[in-house]
Parts: sequence; structure tokens; C-alpha cells
Amino acid sequence: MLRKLIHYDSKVQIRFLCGVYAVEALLAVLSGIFLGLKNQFPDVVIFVLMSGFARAICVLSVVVVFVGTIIYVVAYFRRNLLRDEGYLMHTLPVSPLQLYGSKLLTGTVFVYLSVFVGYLCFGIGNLRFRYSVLEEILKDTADRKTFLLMVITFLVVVPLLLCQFYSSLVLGYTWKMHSANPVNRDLLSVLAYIITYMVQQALAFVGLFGYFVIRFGNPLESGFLERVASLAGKGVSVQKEMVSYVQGILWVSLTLSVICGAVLFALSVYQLNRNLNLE
Amino acid sequence: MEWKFTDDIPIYQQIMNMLKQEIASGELAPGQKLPSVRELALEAKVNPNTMQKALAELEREGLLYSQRTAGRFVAEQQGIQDGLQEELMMEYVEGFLEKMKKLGYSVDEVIALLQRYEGKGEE
Amino acid sequence: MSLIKCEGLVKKYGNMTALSDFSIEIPEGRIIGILGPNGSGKTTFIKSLCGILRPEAGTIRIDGKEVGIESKKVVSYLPERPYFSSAVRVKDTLDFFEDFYGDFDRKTALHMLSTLQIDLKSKIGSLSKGTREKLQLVLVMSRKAKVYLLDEPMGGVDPAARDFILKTILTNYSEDASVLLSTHLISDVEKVLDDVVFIKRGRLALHKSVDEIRMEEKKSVDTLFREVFAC
Repeated sequence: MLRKLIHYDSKVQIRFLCGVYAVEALLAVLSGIFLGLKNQFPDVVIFVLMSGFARAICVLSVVVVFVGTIIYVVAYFRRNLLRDEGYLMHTLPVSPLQLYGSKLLTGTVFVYLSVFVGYLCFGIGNLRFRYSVLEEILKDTADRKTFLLMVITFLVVVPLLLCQFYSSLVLGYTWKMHSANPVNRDLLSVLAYIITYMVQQALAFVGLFGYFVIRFGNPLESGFLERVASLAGKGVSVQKEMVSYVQGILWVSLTLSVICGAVLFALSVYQLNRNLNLE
Repeated sequence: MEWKFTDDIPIYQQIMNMLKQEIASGELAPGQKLPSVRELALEAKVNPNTMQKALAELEREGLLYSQRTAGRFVAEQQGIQDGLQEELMMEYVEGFLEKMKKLGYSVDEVIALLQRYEGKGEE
Repeated sequence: MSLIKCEGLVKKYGNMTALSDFSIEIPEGRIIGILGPNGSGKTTFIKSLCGILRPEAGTIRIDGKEVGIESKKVVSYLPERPYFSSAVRVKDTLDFFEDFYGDFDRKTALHMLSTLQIDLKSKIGSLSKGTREKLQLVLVMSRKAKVYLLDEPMGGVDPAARDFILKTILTNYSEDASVLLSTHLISDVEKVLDDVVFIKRGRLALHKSVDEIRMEEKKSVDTLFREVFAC
């Protein structure tokens, strides 16, 4: 059943996204063409102007598509599960876990896709694919580890971000009313997002502070300032210290985020099971 | 067949009455096969259970009979049709006389009225 | 064993009680009218049966199962709302139902759609409101479910369409299944019903067969309804 949901969700979302990608690709190609023309004929004023303009539009479109994909995917979740279409989806012989899960999986994949398409369009529009920086990073082992960590963080951040948005919508829409007055559930969802965001920030602060203490010991004990100051010193070994410290922070953040995401996911599925109340 | 229903009596009884009329008048001939319960229910736009109840009652009264796989049929005996005509006729007459009595007419007055009515028709 | 068995259902919205200690048993092979004024709890009851609302207290058993994935496999629900997005094509809706419901009979659906002259390739958004509602009815009734829940299928629909709805219900009648239909247009529907259920302020006010009401009260269900729910 999950596979069927994924198939259905993909089909619907891809229809919209393909149109968007097509426009983005067109703008990229135009930018590339004008850039090529400018490079060939640097004295022709119109080519210089158009190239600058087209390139700007191309870069803008990449950003807009990326942000727009996230917005679309979240809006699709809301429309399909919490509005009129919910009457169809929640009476299917599937569990809310599968309904939510399918949206999370397809949403994540489509955001990655938008990043990839954006990368391609950016390259086409600028007639150059930047991977020299990538090569440099991969040469050094320590840097490679950090890079890997950053990649993992990026991969994980997308579903976590979507999970936050999806869960805020669910929490807002399944909030138990205490009076019969109609309430704007989208506003409740925004409120839910703000609250869960603040809670996560607080947890992150506590978590990172805890990590900081583990690393450098009790702030109240002697020798603390010296240990922190040791980070700022010069030399290869200190650099390694710094790198491992940064890696540590990334690991802590990552773990905390994943835990928060999992909690939000579980809470949302529970709410969909128990307190669903479609208008 | 025109299926018309009123509000005050159970639908199955009304169905029975309508079918009895058809049998008595010969529109439903002896031995004729009836459509299935489902088809009749659809035609009359009534609940199939209600139709089934009506037909079962008519069967019980001997006006219909059913053969396992073949379906339901109107009873063959001629006596049945006549008996039914008699029954319905009595019902109509009784009903008519009731109404006339309510208007204040005696049976003799009714007979005179009927003769006058028939006379008018011949003119 | 009853097809549907509810005991002590309670559902509140804040300080408003939609269902209050509501119990009912419904056997197979019946066409049942759920009648009551707006806000009486009809829709809450129906939504509880399909699993899109969970009561605070009480139990529901549908074909012996609790409300969940297994019960949803045998329940076919027609809500008052349009539940497909406008961009979807009629053909897609058939594929969807066929995909998710094992008991969906595509042939029946295609036959009904051709009778209604609904083009398979047309988009839902291009259909009139009445046609969209008929499409949803066709999809719901083309399943070989055990429980059909029709929430106000006749509201705001023209007489010819109402006839079509009743005809579809009668054609689809099965001794193993039951149809629950909530409405306030009783006189249209009365002849088609086996039993009626009156819900008044969240409670079961009456559960009798149409025949019983006519024989005992010597009036139609419509008339009785007006009396029971007089303002």
C-alpha cells in the first residue's frame, strides 16, 4: 500500500514540478547562450547587457525553484491530507503512518531533485560546472571527513525540515477545540511551528552547551579558559583540534535534530490516528 | 404499470393491492411470469425487501406461486381470478358506500343516484 | 452477528456534545435512513463509522472488526464534499479506486458513467457540481463493500439526479451489505428504505422499520419526522 501511495503522490507532484523545471531549464539555456555570445563578441553591448540580465534571472530561478519546491511539497501535504481530499485519503485502507511517510519520502526526493536540477541549470547558465572546490576538499582526509559529515547533514536536513513543516500542519489541524467556534487552523499550524521551533532551539542550546562542557570541562573549574584558548592557537595539532571540535558540534546538532524529527513524526502520526477532524 | 403510493398504509400492502388489481383485471394473466424481485423493486422504486414481503404475502394468499429456479408466476386457476375480482369488488363497493354514508345518503338514495347517473350517460 | 454494532459512543467538540451514549445495531441487507436535523449528530455518527473521526468513548464493530485498515476495506463512503482535485481526470479516479480497493468493479463503473454520458478523459474541474457528485456516487457504489455510507447524497441535487441515486442504490442492493443514507429529504427516499433511525441531539430517538411506523403510527415517516423534530 505504501508503494501505491508513493506512486500516486509522485505522479501528482511530478506533473507540477516538470513544468517548473522546464521553465528553469529554458532560462538556464538562454543565459548560457547569451553568455556564449558575450564571450565570442565582447564588444557588442547588447550581448553584454542581455548576458548579465539572463544570468541574473537564471540564478534567481534556481533559488526560486528550490524554495518553491519546498513550499509546493508542503502545500500538497496540506491539501491532500488535511482538506477536502483528506476525505478520500483517510478512508483508504492505509494507516496514517503510510500516508505521512509517503509524503515525506516523495517530498524529500523532489527537493533533492530540485537541488540537482538547480545545480545543472546553474552550470549551464554559467557555462561552467564548479567542482574544483570539491576536488580540493576530497584530497585531504580530515577535510574529507568533515565534508562527508556536511553531506550527511544536508541529506538529513531536507527530510527533517519537511517533517517540521508537515508536523506543524498536522498539530495545528488536529488541535482539540475547546469551544464550538471555528478557528483558523492554518494559524494554529503557524503557531505550532513557532513553538516546536523554539523548543528545538532550546534543546539544541542545552545539547550544545552540554557538549561544550564535555569538551572543555566544568566552566567553574580552574583551567577552563586555558583549554578554550588552546583552540585559538596556531599549529597543525591545534587545527586538528578545531576540526574535531567542529565535527563534534555537527554530530551533536545532527543527533538532536534527528531525535526531534522522530518525535515530531511520531506525535503527528498519533494525532492523525486519534484526533483527526476534517472540516 | 403505474406505481403510485400514498402515505398512510405500509408500502408492501399498497404493492399487494396494486398487483391484485392487475391480476383481477387480467392485465397479469394466469400463469404469467413475474419479473424478479429486484427488477420489480427497481421499477416501482421501492426497497427490495418490501417488494419481497408483498410478493411473499401474495404467494401465501395463493395468488402467486414460485418455482425454485424459474421464478414467480401468477396462479393458474381461473377460480382465483374470479375470487379476487369478487374480493376487490366488495372492497370498492364498501368503500364507496362508506363515503356516501358520510355524505348523508342512504343505500336507496345511492341506488337512485346511480340510476340517474347511468341514465344521463345514455342521453 | 450484526454488520454494524455501536455501543455507548460519545463525541464532544469542546463543550458541545455531538453524540451522547449512542448505541445501535444494524443487520445486513438493509437500506437505512439516518434522519435528523442539522447538527443532530448524523454526520458525526457516519464519520465515526468510516474512521475519520474517533469518538471519545464507546466501541464500534464493523463486520466484527474494529475501525481501522480492515474495516476501511469493507466500508465505502460518500462524503458531502468533493474529494478529488480539479486537475484529475475521470479515468484517473477509476484507476485510483481500482488500485486501492480490491472490491472495485471497473465494469460497473464504466457502464454507469456511459449511461450518464460522462467522458472519461474530461477533467474533474470541467464537470458541473451535479455531475461531479454523480461521479463520486458511481465510484462509491461500484465497490462490492459491506457497508455503504452516503452522507447527504441528495442535498442540492435535482430530482432527476435524486432518481438516479435511488436507482443506483436499488440496483446495487445486496443481501450481504447495508446502505446507510443520511438525508433530510425524507419523502423522496422513504419507499426505498427498510428502516429509519432518528437522531436527536446526539441520541438515538428512534430505530424502526418503515412498515412498523406506518402500521403503528398510521402516518408516513416524513409526517412522523416533522412531529418528532418540531421546533
